[in-house]
Amino acid sequence: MNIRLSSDFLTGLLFCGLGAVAIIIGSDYPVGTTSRMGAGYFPLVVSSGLILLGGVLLVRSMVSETQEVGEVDVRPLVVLLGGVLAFGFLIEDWGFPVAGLAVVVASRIAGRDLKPWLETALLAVGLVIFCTALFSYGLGLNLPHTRFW
Amino acid sequence: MELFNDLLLGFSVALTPMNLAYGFLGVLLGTIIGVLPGLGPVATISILLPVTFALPAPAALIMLAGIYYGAQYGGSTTAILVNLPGESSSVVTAIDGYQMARKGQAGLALATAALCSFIAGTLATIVIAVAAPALAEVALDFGPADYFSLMLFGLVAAVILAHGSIVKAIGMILVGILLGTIGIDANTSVERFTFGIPSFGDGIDFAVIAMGMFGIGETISNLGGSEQGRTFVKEVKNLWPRWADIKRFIKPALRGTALGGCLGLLPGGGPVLASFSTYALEKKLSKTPGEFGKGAIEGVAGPEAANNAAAQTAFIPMLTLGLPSSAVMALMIGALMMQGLSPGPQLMNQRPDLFWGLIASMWLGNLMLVILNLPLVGIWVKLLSVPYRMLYPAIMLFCCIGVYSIHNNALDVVLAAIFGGFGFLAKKLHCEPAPLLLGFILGPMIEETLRRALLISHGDPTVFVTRPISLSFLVLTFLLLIVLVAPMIRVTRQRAFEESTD
Repeated sequence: MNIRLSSDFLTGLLFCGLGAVAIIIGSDYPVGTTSRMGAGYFPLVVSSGLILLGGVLLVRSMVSETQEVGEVDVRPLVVLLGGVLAFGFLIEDWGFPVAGLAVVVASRIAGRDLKPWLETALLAVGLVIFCTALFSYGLGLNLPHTRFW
Repeated sequence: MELFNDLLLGFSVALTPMNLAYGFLGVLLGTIIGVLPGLGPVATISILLPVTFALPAPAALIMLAGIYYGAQYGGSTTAILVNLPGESSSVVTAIDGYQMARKGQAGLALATAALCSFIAGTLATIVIAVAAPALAEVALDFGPADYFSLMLFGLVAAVILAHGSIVKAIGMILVGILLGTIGIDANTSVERFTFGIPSFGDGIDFAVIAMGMFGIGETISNLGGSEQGRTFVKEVKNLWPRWADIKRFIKPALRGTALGGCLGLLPGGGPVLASFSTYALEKKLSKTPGEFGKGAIEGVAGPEAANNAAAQTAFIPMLTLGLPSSAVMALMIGALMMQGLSPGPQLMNQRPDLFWGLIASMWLGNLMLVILNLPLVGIWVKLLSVPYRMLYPAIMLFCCIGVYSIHNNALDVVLAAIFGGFGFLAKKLHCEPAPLLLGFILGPMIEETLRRALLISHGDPTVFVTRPISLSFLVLTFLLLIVLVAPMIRVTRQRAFEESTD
């Protein structure tokens, strides 16, 4: 996917958006006074600064020529993050071995290296066994066991 | 004499078999990951951070410091042999180091890098041992207003280091500060930005952000790029330098140590700036500047000494003021806080064993590096031939295990994925992730000192300019801002970083 928008413009939008969201969520927090600041004072100052900077970037992207975002490879972004998310969702109910296999296989898909199959399978199984031995038994981390064995 | 006793205490801590073993493990792991291109010290430390939680504080810190200079040094090996800088401060080493390797002097280049790093490391350790206690003494007089101005100075100085746009770097700092406000406000017990999720009450763990943005985010960008064919020099012979070589590199090494040591102290200075400036200096001082870029030994010696010296003196503001001068130091502070210790001037008095043990371990770590890297260089050459497609699945798995094991909380893994996506997005938008991490670490401290300073002064903001320490930091900050926007400097800064990103 090739994004031909200016990166300054998008960053400006991002900063303004984040600042605005923070101000809206934080509107309930008591602001207090300068000598006795409430919980809302500091976040308000920081978010306003963020919106200001976002504004500067937006203006700059309109008056001068800036860099485009360029080529974005969607596949590793989606699949790799999917793999990490799968780990998060699988680890507690299905145990570490299943979650670990999912991450390794998803990573190989993300990098377009699923084939050769045998290599992927061996790598996945080998890494899970290695990590179980190293982290669970070696370093005593509490990784959930799988239900299957 | 007191210094001697302190150092003795330090060595008695660092030389216990357990700490020695963890230090060695750290240096070894750091070197292994540092040698592999694509992962720098920040990513390495963030991935291995959870492993150190279970250790006692001195062992944890000694191991992390070992990982740091291991990764730093491992990057140079890759730079020399493959012309692929393992991390940004070895970009300069790659220029002349790789050319030396192509001329059949790979062994000499590696030995020069190792020995110069060792010289610099030894001298920098002495500087830390002498300067840190003195600075900590001064820092005890700091009030909240002074700390506030100091941290402001630190953040502005950090912007210098960021590649590209200054506005974006400051923006990333502010995003980091905002992320740092998540959790229950310590003063008023109001829940801020917790979205009703109980585990957000303590705030987001910084290891989650670091691992997401550096570990996961960077892997995504690496996979996006096309696989480059790597051509590397496999022949490494004539490891030991001759006397004539030593005579050639000793002076650049000493100059590099001095310059790097000073730049490392500056917040935002760090190894990258140090190695670039030293390279420029050596080129200027050389009688044969034409040799630079074609395999000049001075072009390896100076920058290598400088980045190692800077990497070490960066510990001074971290240990004495609690001020991180780089993303790595921010991670170190995070590690200290997770151990229940607050970095700052009190640290040295409260935990002299930790403080001096760490300093002693720095020197031992540098010694281990020389031993690890010269006789064992063959192993690293082999490691370089492991294809990337075998590595990144392992990196992802380690990231997941690392994040999960912080609190045994699956929600942290989901968060890390979100920050991974954000890190990738930021990279695509030409925003650096390092300033965000600094903002995240410093944010809560800035808010706390700001509130306390204004509470003490009854809301009078002039407290920041009437206290001399605070005023001087504000003046320095102001000067830095002027320097940042001055057009001439902007051009050279851009040029330096364009070279570094090529």
